[in-house]
This record gives sequence, C-alpha cells and structure tokens, in this order.
Amino acid sequence: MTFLERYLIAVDKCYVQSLNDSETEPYKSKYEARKLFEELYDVDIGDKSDNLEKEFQTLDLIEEDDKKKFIMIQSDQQAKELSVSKKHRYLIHLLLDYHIAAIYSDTEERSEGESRLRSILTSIEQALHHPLLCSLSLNLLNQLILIRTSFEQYNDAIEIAKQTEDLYNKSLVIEPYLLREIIHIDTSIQADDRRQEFEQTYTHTLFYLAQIYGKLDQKNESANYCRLTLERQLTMFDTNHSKHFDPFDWATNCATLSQYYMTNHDFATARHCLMCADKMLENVPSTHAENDKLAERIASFKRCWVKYAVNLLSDSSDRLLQAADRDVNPNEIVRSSTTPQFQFKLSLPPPTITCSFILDYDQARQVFLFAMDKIDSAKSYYILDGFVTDHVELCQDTSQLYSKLVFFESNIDRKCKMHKRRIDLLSTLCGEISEEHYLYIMRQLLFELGECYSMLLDLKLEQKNDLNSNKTIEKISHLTKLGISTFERFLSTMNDKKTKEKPETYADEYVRPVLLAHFYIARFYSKFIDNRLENLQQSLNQYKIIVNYVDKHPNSREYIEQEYSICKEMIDLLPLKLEKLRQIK
Amino acid sequence: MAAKECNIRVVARFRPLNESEKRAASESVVEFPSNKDDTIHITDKAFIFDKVFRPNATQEKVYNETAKEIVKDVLNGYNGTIFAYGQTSSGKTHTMEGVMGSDGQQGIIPRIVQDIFNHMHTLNTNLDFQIKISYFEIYLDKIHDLLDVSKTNLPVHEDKNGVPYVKGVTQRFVSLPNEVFKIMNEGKNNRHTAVTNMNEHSSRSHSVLLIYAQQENADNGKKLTGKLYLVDLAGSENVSKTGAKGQVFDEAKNINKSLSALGNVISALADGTKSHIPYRDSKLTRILQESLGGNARTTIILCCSPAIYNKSETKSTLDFGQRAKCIKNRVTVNEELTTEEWKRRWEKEREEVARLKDQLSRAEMEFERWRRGETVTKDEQVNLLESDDTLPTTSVVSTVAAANPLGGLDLRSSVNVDEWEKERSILYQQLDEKDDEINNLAQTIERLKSQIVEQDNIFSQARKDNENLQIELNRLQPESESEKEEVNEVLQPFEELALNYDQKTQEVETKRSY
Repeated sequence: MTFLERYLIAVDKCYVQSLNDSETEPYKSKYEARKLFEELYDVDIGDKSDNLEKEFQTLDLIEEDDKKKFIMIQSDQQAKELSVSKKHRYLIHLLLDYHIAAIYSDTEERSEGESRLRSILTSIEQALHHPLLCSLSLNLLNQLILIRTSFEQYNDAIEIAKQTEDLYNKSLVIEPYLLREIIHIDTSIQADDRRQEFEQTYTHTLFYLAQIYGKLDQKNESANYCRLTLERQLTMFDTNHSKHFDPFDWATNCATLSQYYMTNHDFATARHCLMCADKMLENVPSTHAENDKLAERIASFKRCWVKYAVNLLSDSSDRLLQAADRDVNPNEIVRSSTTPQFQFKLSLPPPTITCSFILDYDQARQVFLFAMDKIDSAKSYYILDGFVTDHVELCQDTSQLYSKLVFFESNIDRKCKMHKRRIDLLSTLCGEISEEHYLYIMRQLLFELGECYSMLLDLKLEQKNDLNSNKTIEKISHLTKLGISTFERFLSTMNDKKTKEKPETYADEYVRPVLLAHFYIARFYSKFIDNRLENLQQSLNQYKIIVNYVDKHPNSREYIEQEYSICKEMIDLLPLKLEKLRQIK
Repeated sequence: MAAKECNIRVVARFRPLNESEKRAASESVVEFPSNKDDTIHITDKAFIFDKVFRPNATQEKVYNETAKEIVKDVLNGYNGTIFAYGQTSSGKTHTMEGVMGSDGQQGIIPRIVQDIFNHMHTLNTNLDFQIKISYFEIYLDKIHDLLDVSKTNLPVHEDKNGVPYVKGVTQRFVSLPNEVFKIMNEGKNNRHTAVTNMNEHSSRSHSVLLIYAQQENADNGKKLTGKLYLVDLAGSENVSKTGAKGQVFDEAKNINKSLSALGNVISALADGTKSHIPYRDSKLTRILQESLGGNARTTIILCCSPAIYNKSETKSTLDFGQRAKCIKNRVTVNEELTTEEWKRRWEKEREEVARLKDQLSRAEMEFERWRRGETVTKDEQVNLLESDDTLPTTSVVSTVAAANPLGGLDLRSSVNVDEWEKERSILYQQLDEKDDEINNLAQTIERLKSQIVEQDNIFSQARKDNENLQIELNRLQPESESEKEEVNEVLQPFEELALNYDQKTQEVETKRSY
C-alpha cells in the first residue's frame, strides 16, 4: 500500500467511519485513526514528482528560534534548504500533526489539540498562502476557531477568522492544492475542483462566524454571515456542483432568513429573500422523492409571505402613530427603504407587493389582498381536518390582517364589517375543532373572538350616539351577550377537567388572560342599556373577582398592575352609582 | 413559585455516586436540606421542584410518587406523559426501565405495565381490555418508526375532532408485561442501524414509547381509550466522557461544524411570535399538545448525577427542569386593554391624527415630485379636496375633535351625495342643539346679572349701615374716654382711703401683739 493510500484510509476512519461509533465508545474510530496517522511518521513517501519539485522551488525551510519554519522565496533569491525531499517530509509531518491535533480537539482534549495546532501554525505562518500550504492553513485556522469558541473566547475566534479572511483574499490569485496533494499532486484533478474544495472550506469559516455572532447576540452580524454562507452556496449552484448544493434546503434557509429581516423592519431585504426562496423552489425537481414535502414547503413559504404582510401593515400603523405622537413626518420615525441590503444572483420577476411602509387605505388594501390570496392557496394544502394547527394559524393571520386593515379605514360602517368578518371566521373555527384536544388553540381563539366583540361593541356604541335607532340598541345588547358568553367559555376552559371547578390558582402565564377576561366581562355588563341595576351589579362582581384574586395572590399583581387599580376604583364607585339607580327607581 | 400553578410536575432524582466516581474520590456537589424534600442546593444555587429524590430513594418510592397516579388516570381514559431528561449515565434508563424482572430494581415502565395488567384482572369479564404499543423517535423533526424501519418520515395528522396522532405508526398488541421489553429492545436495535451519525443522533433525538390502554364494554360497546407517553427527551445527552483528561465541556458552548445546521442558526435569528419558520414547529409538541395542555397529567423526571465531574450537566439539567415548570402556553393577548373610555377616545384621536398625517405626507411626496419637475399622473395625484381639508385641520384636529363630536368627519369618503346629505343633516341638528344651548346659557347669564345687581344693592346698603355705625362709634368714643376719666377721678379718693385703712389696721395689729 502506498503512503497516500494509507493516509486516505486514516482520513476515512477519522471523518467518515467515526460518525457511526456507538454511544458507549464514541471516539473509537478517532483513536484508531490517530494511531494510523502516527504510524505514517516513519514511513517513506517514495516517489518524487516534478510538479512537487516545482512548487517547492518557491518554498524554503529555515530554522528560527529552534523551530523549523517554511518561508516564501522570491524568484531572485536562493533557497537555504536545497533538498526537496527534506522539505517535503517536513510538510507531510505537519500534515499528520494537523490531523492528530484535530483528533485531540474532537475528542475533548482541546487544550492539547490547540497547543499542537499553534505549534504547526508557527511553522507555516510565514507562508500561509503558498499553493501547497493554503488548504492546510485554512483548515488549521478553522480548527482554531472551533476550539476558541468552545472556550467561549469569541473575540479570539473572530480575530482568527480575520486572519482566515486575509488568507482567503490572498489565495484568490493562486491555485490552492488539496490537503492530500501535500503528499502527491494529482494531475487528474481539475483546477475548478480544487477551487471548489477550497471555497467550501472557507464557507465553513463564514458559517462559524455566523454562529459566533449568534452566541454574542449580535443578530445583525450573524444574519449577515448566514447570508454570505447562502451566497457562497448559491455559487455552487451556478457552477453545477450539485453535490454541494441542495436547492430545497437553500430555498428554505433563504425564506427563514427573510423572517429575520422582516421582524427587523427591513422589508426590502425580506422581500428579496422571499422572492429568491420562491424562485429557488422552482429548481427542485417535481419528481423529488418526497413530493409531499415540496407541496408542504410551497405552502409554507406562502405563510412566510402572509407574515410579511401582517408585519408590514403593523409596522406601518405603528410608524404613523409614533409620527402623530411626536408630531413629525413619518419618515423621521423610519424611512422606507426600497433597496435590499444585498442581492442574491438569481433572476427574479418584478415584485408583486410593495416593501414601502403603508400610508393609506388603498395601499393597505393592496397588501391585504395579496396576503389573502396567499392565505387561500396555503389553506388548500393546510386543510382544517388534518392540519388543525396550521389551518388555525392561517385563520388567525387572516383575523390579524383585518384588524390591521381597520386602522387604515376611517368609515365606521366598514370598520364594523371588518370586525364582523373576524368574528365569523373565529366563531366558525371555535365550533368546529375539539376543545378537548386543541385546548391551547381554543383558548387563543376564544380570547381573540372576545376581543373582537368588544371592539365591535365600542364601534356600535359610537354609532348609537350618531343614529339612535332601536335596531342598534338591539344589536348592542346582542353583541354584549355574545361577548360575555365568549369570555365565560374562555374561562371555563381553565376549569378542572374532572371536578369542573374553577382553579384556586392560575398558572403564571394564564393570570393575565384570565383576569383580563373578567375585566372584559365587567366592561360588557356595564354596556347593557336596559336592566342597568342588575347588570352593573354583575359588573361590580367581576371587578371584585379580580381584586380578590390579586389580594389572595399578591404575586399576580404585576401581571395586571394597571387594570387592578381601575378595578379598585370601580369597586368604590359602582356601589354609589347603584345606590343612585335604586333611588331613581 | 408554588408548584400548583403549573400543569407540569417536575421531579428530580439523583443517583448515588457510582463505583468509578467513588474510586476517583469524587465529591458530591449537591446538598439536600434535611427538612425539605423539594429543594436541592448546588454550588449555592437552590432549585425547587415538586419533589427531589435523593440517592437512596427506592425504585418503588419513585414509581409511587411520580407515575402511579398517572396510570390510574390512563386506565380511566385520560392521557398522561412522563418525560425523562438527563445526561448519559445519570440514571435515566435505571429510572425508566431498571432491572427487568427484579421486584426491587425494576423501573417505572415495567411497574406501569404490571399495574395495567393487574388492573385488567380485577375487571368484569364483560370488559374487553387491550394494550397496544408504539415506539418511534423524532429526529430532526422527522418521525421514524422504530418498529418498522421502512417508515422514516411519518406525518402527524391532526384530526379536528380528535387527537393528533402519528399517521401510519406501527401498533403492536401485547398481552404480557415482558413483551413490552422485547418490543423496546427491537426498537432500540433498529435505532442503531438506521442512522449514519450515531453520536449526533443520540444527542438530538427524542424517543417516544406510547402505550394505548383501551377497554371496551362488551355489553354496551362503550370504549375508553387512555394513552400514556413515555418520552426520552434529547438535549442533555452529552457525548460521553471517555476518560480523556480534558475539561468538562458544555455542549451548548460548541458551534456546529456541519453546514446542515445552517437552518437552525438562521431560524434562531427570527422572532418566533411574529414570523413563520418554514420547518421549525416541533412534531413532538404537536403529538403531545393534549398531554401538555390543561389538566392532563404530565411529569418530567430530571435524572442527575451528584458528582462534581458532572456539575455543569447537572446544573443544565436542573435549569431545564425549572424552565419546563413554566412552559409558556400560546395564549397571547394581542391587544393591551385600553380601559377607561377616555383612553379609548384618546386612542381614536391618535389614529385619526396619524391617518391625517399620512395623507399630508402623501401630498408632500407628490408635491416633491412636482417640484422635481416630474409629472404626476391623475391616478397618482392626491385628492385635492382631501388635502385642502386636511392641511388646516391637522394641527388643530385633536382639540377640535375633543371639544366637538364633528371631529370624526370622514375626509376621505368619496363624493357620496347621500352621505354628505346625512352628514349635513347631522350637522344642522347639532347646530340646533348648540343654538339651544347658547340660548339657555344666555338666559342664565341674564338671571345671574340681575342677581348681581341685587347683591350689589344689598351690599351698598350694608356699606351705608356700616358707615353710619362707624360715625356713631366715632362719636361715642370720646364720650367714653371722658367718662373713664371721671370715674378715675372719683375712684382715686377711695383708693387713698383704702390705703389709709390698711395702714391703720396694720398698726392696730402690731400694737395688739405687743
């Protein structure tokens, strides 16, 4: 067996077979590989090649501070070390050192691994970007980044990454050989393939940086490195290196990245990412083994678009409100940007939705219709019976879209109609799904439905002041009843399944929703037009429930601070009002 | 925090130091306060759970206090879940499985199965009892059937009237307790052969053993199905330490080397509540949603090692438990409640102002374009009628709106004659009302005026009286002065007399005493 063959067996053991080690002996193959590498130190390489000889002409081996070091030779200089085989043997030793150091760090002996890697680095740092050394340098620096990160020395790791970046930039003008070509230059390998391999390793560097910045909670930086990673993966697609590129994953990651920019109010970039994701999905063969997966992903991306629309409307209204508060032009709050921070190299169709902040109803309506279209087609995949959670989330998004659209609408009749749509949608769902099995979902739906009734009621009361008709009064009383029963149903979902009784104590995360439900009910009772006396008494009772609960559970007060003081006040005031009403009677 | 407030019971169990730890003279890093059975201290940090089992707790005690209740519920047709969580060799398998066939050493699963079978024998003969088992694992959000390796990506089906379930998962009937173990072993073997990267795999996959207990009444056909999930949770499974003299590493500190994890890195960036992550919703949560919800019985058993060597893992396990106690449900309150009416009013005005502002800025944008010399097509132009109305209104709209109900004027509505007509009649009506009000006020003013005149009269009268009195007083004062003088004059001789008298009596007194 040749040296190279033995080396490749060790590499295979180290990086491929080790993946299958059992739980009880997780590093079995790594240790075996280390042994194989160690055995190679004393093996003669044998053949010499002209190619290698040529490359070594630009590389000199000197001794400095008791250490052998490679340096670059300029064309007009004479090498100190003339023996190619000496240089070659030393370089191979460094290569073996590298693998062994990497094994140390992979088997939880990182300090040992690191000191070995640092020692190699001193031997090559003056010639990092030599074609023969390039790959070794890059891999070595990547290893160091991993180790520094594992010690939580993130800034060190970033420093090393900068060195890596410098190396990469210098490597652009040369042709870096593969790691194993340190042993023997393989003339059958295409320059392109060498480049790809090298690029792939550097992509890892960027990916590590994305994770490091993620750990430092510098999300923007992290996102940027994720983007660079995606960008580099995309070049693999361009050059048809399909083994390194999976359009399906790329599209998914790109769509996910859009959700970051979207929640960061950068709609231009978010839109670009989503369009690229959609576009890339076209490259997934429809004969894709998991065909259902493709259909699922298409529907899933539509949901990303829906979130985009909801956030765009929501951010736009926030922006206008803030501008009004401070009495400034909305652009002083935040300016719409229409150009994304970066552009993936994909040819895209013209966008079908704006990325500027919305200013008026007509623009809002466009966004709304766009999202509704996405919702409808996503729903044809996420049907209710079979995908309850997804389907419900789509309906909740629909409700949110209406509620955002209401902001831009000023006609009270139409506002009422929009809330009515939400009510229809949510109450239908509440009737259809099993409360027992989708308890969480049911609670969310009931709460939002209750809120809708409350909002609609307020609008109707406003209308009543303008047009006093019996019909509105009837409607108001009807709405009030529905609102009360919805919140009561919400509260009943909290009851013990067996005893049907209200719990003494609610879990922290329910305290606010539960007490708010009582608060809403109190408000509803106070809106009844007839039977004032009885209804106000009911309202008072609800306020008392809240205050009693908080008094019994002082910790819960923080969840409902503002409302609590109002309840207190109401408990003082309502009895006076009730007394007055009684007197009138 | 009181345990009652959470739906999830969390207990921690510490194993004793094992032989190699004792040999290495490893110390125990945990302290159990003697008077409390729910607290443990680890390097000065106290963790409180529903129960803490110390190293000497028997298997039976652990079963009785964590699982027995759940089994009862399952037999009555409810669902229950028991999670086990902890690093390798923290006693997870011992707790869940233990030594099969040994009365003392068997773990929770054999005891559960035994209890279920015992229960079966106590039932009436007209009750038909069936027990079925499924065994699967969830890895990278794919469900692999461990009893049929050909099923590698089973979907979770959510039936709107029923339970979310794993569609197509293999179900095996069992009639004897130890059949459960045969099935589990078969599954474990399948797990090992099916994967390419065992190390990564075992630290990232959850395995789920599902026991269905179904009873059917032969007489009335009534069915009762209870399900018990036994979940081995991934997460704390660190790659086992190999005797290497390295440091203790915390898995969470490491970064992922494989680009296949890019998706995780990206999805960690986005804010989960506002966005949709294309693949991140967890199948585990979906399957277990009913078990986690409301009144279902759920217990998490944290398995921990007391050795100092495992300190960081133990701490992270306990941290997980603490978080799990308060798993946030997904009820979100979208709207902050605007409570008092005035607040609602204020919000509305705010919205109105904002809306008007944006019309203004649209107009400004158009103006800007005109200025730049562009031509703005008719469609793009801002309705002049609107902006005319808007411009002067903007700055004062809040005060106007607050003072008078016309503030809600719809500036944007189209030229709808009816609406305008209606609007106008309302305005007239309001105008009339105002007139009446003014009239009323005017009358009141008149009335008040006459009252003022009256008061004025009274006042001036009083002043006159006052003046008269003053004059009288002035006149009387000197009189009073002179009279006072006269009195003084008269009084003086009397005083002198009195003085003489005193002297005389004193003299008499002294004389008498001699």
